[in-house]
Amino acid sequence: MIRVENVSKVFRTQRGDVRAVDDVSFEVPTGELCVLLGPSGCGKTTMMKLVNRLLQRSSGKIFIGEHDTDSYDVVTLRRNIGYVIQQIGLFPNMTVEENIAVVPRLLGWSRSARHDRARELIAMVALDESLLERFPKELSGGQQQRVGVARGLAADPPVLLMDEPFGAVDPINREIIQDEFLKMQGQLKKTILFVSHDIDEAVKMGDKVAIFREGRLVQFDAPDMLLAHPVNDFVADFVGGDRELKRMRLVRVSEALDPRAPTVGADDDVELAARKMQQAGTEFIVVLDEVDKPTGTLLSHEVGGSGLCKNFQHPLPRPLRPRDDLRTAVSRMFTLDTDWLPCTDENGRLSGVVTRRSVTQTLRERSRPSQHGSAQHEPPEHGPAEQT
Amino acid sequence: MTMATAEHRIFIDRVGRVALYLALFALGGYAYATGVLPEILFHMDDILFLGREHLFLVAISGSLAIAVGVPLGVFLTRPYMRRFAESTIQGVNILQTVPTLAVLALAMAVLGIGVVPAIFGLWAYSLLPIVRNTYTGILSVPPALLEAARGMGMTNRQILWRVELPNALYVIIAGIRTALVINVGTAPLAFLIGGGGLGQLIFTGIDLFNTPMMLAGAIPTALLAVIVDFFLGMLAFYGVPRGVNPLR
Ligand SMILES: Nc1ncnc2c1ncn2[C@@H]1O[C@H](COP(=O)(O)OP(=O)(O)OP(=O)(O)O)[C@@H](O)[C@H]1O
Ligand SMILES: [Mg+2]
Repeated sequence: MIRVENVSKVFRTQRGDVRAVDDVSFEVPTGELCVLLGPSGCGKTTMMKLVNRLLQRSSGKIFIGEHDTDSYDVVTLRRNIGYVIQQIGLFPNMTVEENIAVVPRLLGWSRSARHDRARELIAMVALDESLLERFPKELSGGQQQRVGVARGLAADPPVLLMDEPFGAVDPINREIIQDEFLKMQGQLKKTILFVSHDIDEAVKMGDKVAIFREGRLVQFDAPDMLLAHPVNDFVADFVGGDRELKRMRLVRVSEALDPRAPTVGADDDVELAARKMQQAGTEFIVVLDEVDKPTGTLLSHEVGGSGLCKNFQHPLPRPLRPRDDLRTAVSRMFTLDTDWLPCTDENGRLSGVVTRRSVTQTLRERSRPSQHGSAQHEPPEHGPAEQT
Repeated sequence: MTMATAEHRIFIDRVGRVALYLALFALGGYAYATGVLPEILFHMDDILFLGREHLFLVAISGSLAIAVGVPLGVFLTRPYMRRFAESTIQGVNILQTVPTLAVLALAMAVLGIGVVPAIFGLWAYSLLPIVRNTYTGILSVPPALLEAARGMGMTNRQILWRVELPNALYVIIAGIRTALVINVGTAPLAFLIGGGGLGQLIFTGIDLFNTPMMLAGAIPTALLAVIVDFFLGMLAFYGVPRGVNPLR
């Protein structure tokens, strides 16, 4: 756990004082990733350096676990906090392996233990083992950044500070590294402060997002809440006009299935299908075979008379997967010009149906203010923030 | 340093060296053709004896210069020295402009005649490039590296040995190379204050209008400078880790 209590940092410069961090409080529970987000110069890096005491705070307290960071010997404190700096900062005089093993070496690990750990980590960040013998200058920017992340994780610290760790990677590879990192974090469960100035990255990576502006913490919320309820115009502008679309990336199809969508057996009569559609109030019905695999669909205005469903059915639109996000779902609905899409599990059985209605309803329900966490609010500047 | 400039420098380095060897070879041929060579070789015993003295002067004053210059350069980069460092380096630069002969004369004025003032004078004169290069080499280590090192929990001493010195090593060795080559070339002046060395042949040759005698001192001095330069070049090439070596 990282707890920040009323922390301020004032830089005294020739041209007066700069309040880089201004009375900030928040808490990151153990095992969660908190993204510090905000425009350039808003104090993200400064906030981070206060945690490992690279900078001395002007006031306030920072706790790691139950202990005040001031109660640790500063070198011990830092060796127990993984640190990935904004400029990557690999040591050019050391090989990749030596770079990764810096902290283990400081902690006195044996040579063979360091070597094993380096091999383990290089695999974890999805790089080839042969790179261990190279020097940083012989790596691409993206590879260097992965090594930087591996170095931060080397001594298996419970807490990690990562300052724009994927900043030097092109957008496509960034997505890949982010996915890999999330998978890793899913197992490692580190407590992480993660700096970013990219809202998409923040929303994707963060359990919590802390939005900063000129040293002040403007909003601290789960990504979905942040997108659904920006506390003021600044946050609304920052998260962007397409914030509902961004929210869709956070929700899985499995969470937005329409429970009312009817199904019918392939060997049932179309009359039954018609009745079911009428009951459910839908325009369509999914036809299933005997093991619940969807075989096709029927539309309400076409089912007159009688006969077996399988003789009347249309082919099914390509089904979604439960783990797809809603943005994928909605995008495919637009592509196929349809109001609904089936969703099947890995065995091809029908998990349910996503409709436009179920999408909007799910988004609405998820953003109920009753679920609102411990947000820190700033009074809205120009009236109510809600804007479209 | 980018790859392009590094290759560029290696190329110039090679061309320069080949040109130097060709020039020496041509000089040897000329000396032989004019019959000067046998006359030079006539002084062989002196060359060997004085050459050894010369090397002694260089080795002692050079290693003392390294032993003092590198730590001094490092010391000037420490935070508590920051305030005095720039002015010290400025002072060092001014000292470098004092003519060599004047330095030796001053050394003689204080320490008298003989090997000791000669070594002192040469030492003082080679100190400056070493201090300056060590100082600038360490200061030019990117701040991001220091921040990463500190943030990962290195102590100041660990940062110095594992980050600052290795990353400044190439520049430091370049300073030592310059200092020692200058040292070899300056050492003949030691003769003037009774320090011995190949200067004896050179200056006596000049006094007696004896060109072969003068050359018997000058040519080995030049050769010695080339050899010292060559060995330190090798040291820079093979001794500096590949990751921070612009030549590799
Ligand atoms: N050592 C310092 N001395 C004086 N002012 C500083 C110092 N470090 C940072 N600042 C100022 O503090 C403010 C916050 O800087 P900080 O580096 O934390 O921003 P940031 O949010 O990390 O920005 P970026 O996204 O560009 O990295 C800036 O106005 C900056 O100029
Ligand atoms: Mg920053």
